[in-house]
Amino acid sequence: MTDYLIALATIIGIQVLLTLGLTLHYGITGLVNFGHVAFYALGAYASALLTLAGVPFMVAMGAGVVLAVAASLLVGTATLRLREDYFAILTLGFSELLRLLLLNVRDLTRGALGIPGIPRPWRAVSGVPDHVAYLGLVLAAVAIAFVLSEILARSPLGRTLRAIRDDDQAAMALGKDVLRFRLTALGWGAALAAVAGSLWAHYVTYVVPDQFTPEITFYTWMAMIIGGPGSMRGAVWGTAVLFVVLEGTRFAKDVMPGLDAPRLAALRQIVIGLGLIVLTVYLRKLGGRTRPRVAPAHVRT
Amino acid sequence: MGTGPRDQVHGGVGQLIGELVHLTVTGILVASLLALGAVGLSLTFGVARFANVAHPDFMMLGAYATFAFNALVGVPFWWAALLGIGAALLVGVPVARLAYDKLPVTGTVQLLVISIGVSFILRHAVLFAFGSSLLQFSVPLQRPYVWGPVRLTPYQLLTLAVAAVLVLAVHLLLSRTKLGRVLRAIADNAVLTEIAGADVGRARLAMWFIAVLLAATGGVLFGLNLVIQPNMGWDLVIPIFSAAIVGGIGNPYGAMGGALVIGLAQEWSTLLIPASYKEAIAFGAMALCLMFRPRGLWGGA
Repeated sequence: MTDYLIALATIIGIQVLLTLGLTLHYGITGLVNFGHVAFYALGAYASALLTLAGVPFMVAMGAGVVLAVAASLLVGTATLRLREDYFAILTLGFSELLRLLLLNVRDLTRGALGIPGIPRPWRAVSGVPDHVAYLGLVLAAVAIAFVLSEILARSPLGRTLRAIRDDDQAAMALGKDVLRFRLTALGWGAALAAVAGSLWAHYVTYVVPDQFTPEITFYTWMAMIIGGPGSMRGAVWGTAVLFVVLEGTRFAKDVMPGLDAPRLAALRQIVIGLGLIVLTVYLRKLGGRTRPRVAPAHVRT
Repeated sequence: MGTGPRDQVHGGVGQLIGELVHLTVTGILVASLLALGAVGLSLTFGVARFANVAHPDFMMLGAYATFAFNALVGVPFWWAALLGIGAALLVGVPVARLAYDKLPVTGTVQLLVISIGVSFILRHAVLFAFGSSLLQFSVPLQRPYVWGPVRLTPYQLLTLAVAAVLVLAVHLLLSRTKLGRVLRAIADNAVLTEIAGADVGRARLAMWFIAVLLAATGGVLFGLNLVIQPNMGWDLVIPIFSAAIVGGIGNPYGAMGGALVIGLAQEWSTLLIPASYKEAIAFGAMALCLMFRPRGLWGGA
């Protein structure tokens, strides 16, 4: 039971990093990122491949972060000028494209076979069991990310980002370089997602493209919405609530005997879908861009 | 579409031409399936002003309802198709009305997130009921007609014919009827249309009816030519959005042309790159189009 709780806490911790990243993207800056899992996957694969090639863990993780940030800047430069729903579709497409690449560039990624045997860092800290030490590492990463995100959100940069989220034209009129600020936010969030990916890869010691479906993105959205978009503390408890509830549904088979595992999994996804809808309606401030459109249809209003 | 038996033409150039003709025919077939999804998506995007990610799942609904009547109940295919499309309308239209028109939300991002929720629910409800295996309608195999390098089965001919008739019908409806005028007016300016006394609610009901009808029919034709699985809608998100965006989103006529561009580009690309990258071609076309021709290849509104 203790082992189970440690595993749950580790997974929640990794997921909190993803949610913090999305909170910087959407909650603070208003970027409708539907491809968050792409940065997670880049962090995971880069870190996995490099450590297997003998690079130290921290360096490999750093490389994953650099790669994810570079990808986010590339995607952002190309698409951030577009309207928010186009940005959403393009980031979603980008994450699917990346998964397609991971599946097909077999020389590098072994495709659908995945990469097994990813080493855990510091395999033996004296006396401390492996998984406890790893939880400590994850919690340390979460603490650092949380403090950095809070500092960023409260800084003048954070204020500018929120101003852009609430009214980008006003921010532009005040002389702010809106695109550059959006790219900054995108990069920071992608970096957090890449750290999460790296921690995930070294935790489960095995990565495969199937782990990086858009469902990860939408779990993260839901965690952010539960906690209230824009709040770092909300990102933490929203993620914890979501994953405890999701874990709880694993025990649903005790209540509903006769359902096989795939059916239970499908039911969980249905609950996720309902949750997304109900929470979106309940939290109306989510993306409440309702003022009439004045700019041409293809320009971000 | 898989690559069927090669043509009998031998020798370099002849073989290439045969291959090209074959890919072109396949591309047009793919395009007719994509068009049935993209026209409805474009219509709803223009009128309801949000990107309905669950739209391709209406295709899946049509395919699975038909499968249920055809393979499970044992109704002959033609009747099963009619019943299946009817069932998809009975489920899809109320779902769309409820989720997109009746909830107290208006923001594009909110509706986008809600459509993700709807997509999760539809897909996993089907997964729950039918499982995740590949399924096929029980229809007799048919010999293809052969004209030189062109080979078409009667089902493929039917697919082309049905797509052409439905797309023409939508064209006539939009350009010749009062409903079409109201829909085009809402796409231009919903508030003014309402002030002018048009029944916007009824027009939107009709719009969802048309969108689900086209998509469900497309799904049935998809199942007639290929195999179906619960992820088929999700897998079509990128190609269908690409077709709608390349054609100029909100412009149902453009969507037909967009479908043709995407269908042909996907098939022709297999001459140069592995077929597993087809989806990347659709995504690339969409991304390039949004960056350089955000109103679609044909411009206009």
